[in-house]
Amino acid sequence: MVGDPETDLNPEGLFGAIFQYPDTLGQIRDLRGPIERVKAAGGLAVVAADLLALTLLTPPGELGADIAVGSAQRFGVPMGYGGPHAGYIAVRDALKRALPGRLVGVSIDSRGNRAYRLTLQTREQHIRREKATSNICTAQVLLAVIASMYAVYHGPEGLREIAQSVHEKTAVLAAGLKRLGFERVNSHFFDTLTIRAEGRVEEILAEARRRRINLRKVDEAHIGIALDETTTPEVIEAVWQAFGGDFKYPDFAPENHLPATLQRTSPYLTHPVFNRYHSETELMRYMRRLADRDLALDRAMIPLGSCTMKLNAAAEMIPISWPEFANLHPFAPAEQAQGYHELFETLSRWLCEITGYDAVSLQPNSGAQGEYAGLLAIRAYHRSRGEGHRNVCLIPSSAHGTNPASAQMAGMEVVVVACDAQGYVDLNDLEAKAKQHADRLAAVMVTYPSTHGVFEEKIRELCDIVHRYGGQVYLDGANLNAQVGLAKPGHYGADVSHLNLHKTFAIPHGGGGPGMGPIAVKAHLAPFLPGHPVLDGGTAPVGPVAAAPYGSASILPISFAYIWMMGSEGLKRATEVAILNANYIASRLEPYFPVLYKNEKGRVAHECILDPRAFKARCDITAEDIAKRLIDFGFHAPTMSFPVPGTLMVEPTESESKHELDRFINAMIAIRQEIAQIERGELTAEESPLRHAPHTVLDLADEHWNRKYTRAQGCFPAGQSAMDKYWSPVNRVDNVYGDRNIVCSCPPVEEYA
Amino acid sequence: MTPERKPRSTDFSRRHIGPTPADIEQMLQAVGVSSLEELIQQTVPASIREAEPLNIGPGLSETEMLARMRAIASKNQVFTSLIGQGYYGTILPPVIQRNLLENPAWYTAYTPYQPEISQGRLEALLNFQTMVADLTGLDIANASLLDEATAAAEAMAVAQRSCKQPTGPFLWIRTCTPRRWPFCRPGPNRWAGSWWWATPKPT
Repeated sequence: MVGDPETDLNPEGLFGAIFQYPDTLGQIRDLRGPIERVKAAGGLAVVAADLLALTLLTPPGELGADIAVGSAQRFGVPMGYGGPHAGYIAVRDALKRALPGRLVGVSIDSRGNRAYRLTLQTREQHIRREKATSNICTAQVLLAVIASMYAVYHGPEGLREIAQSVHEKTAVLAAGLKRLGFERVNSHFFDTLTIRAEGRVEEILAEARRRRINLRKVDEAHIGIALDETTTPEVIEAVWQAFGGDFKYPDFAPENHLPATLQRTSPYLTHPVFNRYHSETELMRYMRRLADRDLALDRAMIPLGSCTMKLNAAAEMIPISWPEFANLHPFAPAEQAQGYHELFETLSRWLCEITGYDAVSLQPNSGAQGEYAGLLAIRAYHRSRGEGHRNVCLIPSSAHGTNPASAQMAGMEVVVVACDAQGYVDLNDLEAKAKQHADRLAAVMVTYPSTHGVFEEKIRELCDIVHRYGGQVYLDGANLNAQVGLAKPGHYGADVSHLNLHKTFAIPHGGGGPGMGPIAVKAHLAPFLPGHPVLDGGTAPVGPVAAAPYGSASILPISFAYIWMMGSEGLKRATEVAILNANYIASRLEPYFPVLYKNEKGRVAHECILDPRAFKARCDITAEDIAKRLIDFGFHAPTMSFPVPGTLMVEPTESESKHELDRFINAMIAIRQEIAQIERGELTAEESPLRHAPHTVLDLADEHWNRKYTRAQGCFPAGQSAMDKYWSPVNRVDNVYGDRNIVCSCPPVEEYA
Repeated sequence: MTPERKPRSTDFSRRHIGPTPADIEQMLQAVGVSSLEELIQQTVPASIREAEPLNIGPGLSETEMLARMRAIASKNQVFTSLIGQGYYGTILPPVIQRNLLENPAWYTAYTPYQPEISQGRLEALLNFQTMVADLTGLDIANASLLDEATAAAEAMAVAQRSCKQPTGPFLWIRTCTPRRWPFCRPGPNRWAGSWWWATPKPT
């Protein structure tokens, strides 16, 4: 329910309440009382807070909040017509195991040195599937990193000055509007004013627009104005003009309008990292140092199955920095965004052409959000036909963990369908389950080509069976890179798919986000695509799944440019070469590592699963040992233990050259020979370079080296070039230690000594 | 009229696709087929193959694409937006734009599931978590969520899982920015019925 904190807060039976600080009208309230009442009744208090304002205001934690949420956008990330930006969530220590999404923690490596890793992964949907509490995979890593660097660059004093300056400009604007006789609704403010302008709202908004300024129409009688670090005195003077005033900025002295009882006294960002890199030279080198520790596509193939780590071409990336794409507000009038809308329409048309569907929503910000939106569309469709009770979702046992987690979130009951020995969906079991739940069957979620990396011959039959029992077919588009130009899901029986633009359509992975997961549907589901109150006034049958109407609009030019430059023939050729590359790896490595799952003709799709499980039984070498040893060869590991535990899934994509494929194949063969040494009993797994991988300069410099292989064998396997060597910055990271000793913020200074 | 003959250097797809035509011949041989088409026939079921080529048009060169993209971009008008509601003008420091946002070492990396080769971005994310925890005055922050609306919905889910009376209502204070919260309407969602959409009324 929606209400007022002072009058409607009868906390009886509440499980929680969310407050905004400062609120949407710019008001800053002391939330201590309301928060206390919520908590006294056993509920949790959530505060949505503006990070920049918090440099000046008492933070939510000190007001008693249990959870704070918000956006890090204004820390250097362009508005981009709605995204991508990093949302944030922070909680009290007692709630840390309930925290959704990814969490970085501090652990140690095998030499006992500090090493970072993702912690508490057992909370995530990869492991918990339909019992997961959130279906989120993607975060907004690149944007979070930009925001963190903004804070590193400015430091606590710099951020405070920026906030102070925004507040002073707002105070000057307020003083001018007051002199013009306009009443301000919010008694206190940080950067936002709500001005009463009964009968004059449209006129003032039009006057502002004439001066190329957009103000917010709060309602028929009120205008909202929010300033930021880019606001100039000229802009403030132009706003006064729109309200009928002719003042100069220096005519007013700024006063402090923050509540006296809510001034921030506690320190923040005291850690050295926020106080050391304030010159450009220092920050440039800090970012270089961090980047040098990592292995990205600019160094080597990232053969991650199911992730499609293809080229993100420079020409595709260039337009996203143009101000015409970067600096539009998502709620700016549509006539100012005609370029964007032309791009959305053409891109949607192309995506329909490629997939065989009829309509597209660009709103979902990730594959997981796309799945959720697609399932909501299916539920709304059933409801529109008087069949709202249909809520059973069939999911093959081989599905990605996000599928059951999304189904659970969409309020569906998950029924698992078996796979046969070849890894195909067992159609007999599918039919039996569909029949058993016929009156409640809502959907099947199926990945194609399958998560096992094979084109199943009977996909049409699968779709027909589900339709026969009244269900809809959700086809996970994660593996679309194997189909573009060859087959169209909308033509062989699927009703809805999400399309991972960050896989098939060249948006970079950003180190773990942004993602982009538009959904495409057949015509009968089109009315149930996610709406947005800005576009439809909140009347659409299905509500929004993201904050902005077009999701992460500013990265759509990347996929657009990719399709535009590849053209019909290039897209098809890319698919064919992606399939060739995978089959080339499978053929060449088959004598060394069994290839799990091939079709009747012995072919894989665009990825293949290498099966080293026999080594585990024979000589205790695991997929993890192989994955970590690949780092010594300068490669990122393939996907580990998905979809089959203990195996490695390799997806080269079309972008990798034969030279790079051969380099990878040779590395894998060299690793196989190291395994053979263990099989022959020359050394144990514990003594082998595989178990000690990855190797670091500390191994090379180890004065007490007493291993059964030489330092050179460890560090430069199979004649790796010393000149071009990628050095892992840490030895193998200890996962157990990190989960037992949870540290999720910068360690104290003395540990850096 | 003779169509313009374009040099191969302008064919973007040849840059995007790694193997050269000569490489492809060798690879087909290693795989044991005589042509790409034969491989595709052995891989993709005939029952789902499209007979017609895609109708996207010929590929553009990088130069042509950028020129046409400029024309599309120029149809956007960059006004000064003082609309707020979670989106603000901000200055991306050029040193960060050039060395991070536009640097493939940062943007082409994968999710840091392999921690050994991800120490750089893991440190940057730890800085993000420290920054958020410090500024909010809370103990622990995660490495980001999709957007503020998703964060609010996830917070609601955390509250529901963690409180003593998970079946009660969840109160949305009227002065929360309405456009920022998805899921806040009646309908098929995981908290159906407990709350609804409302337009804030200035008081």
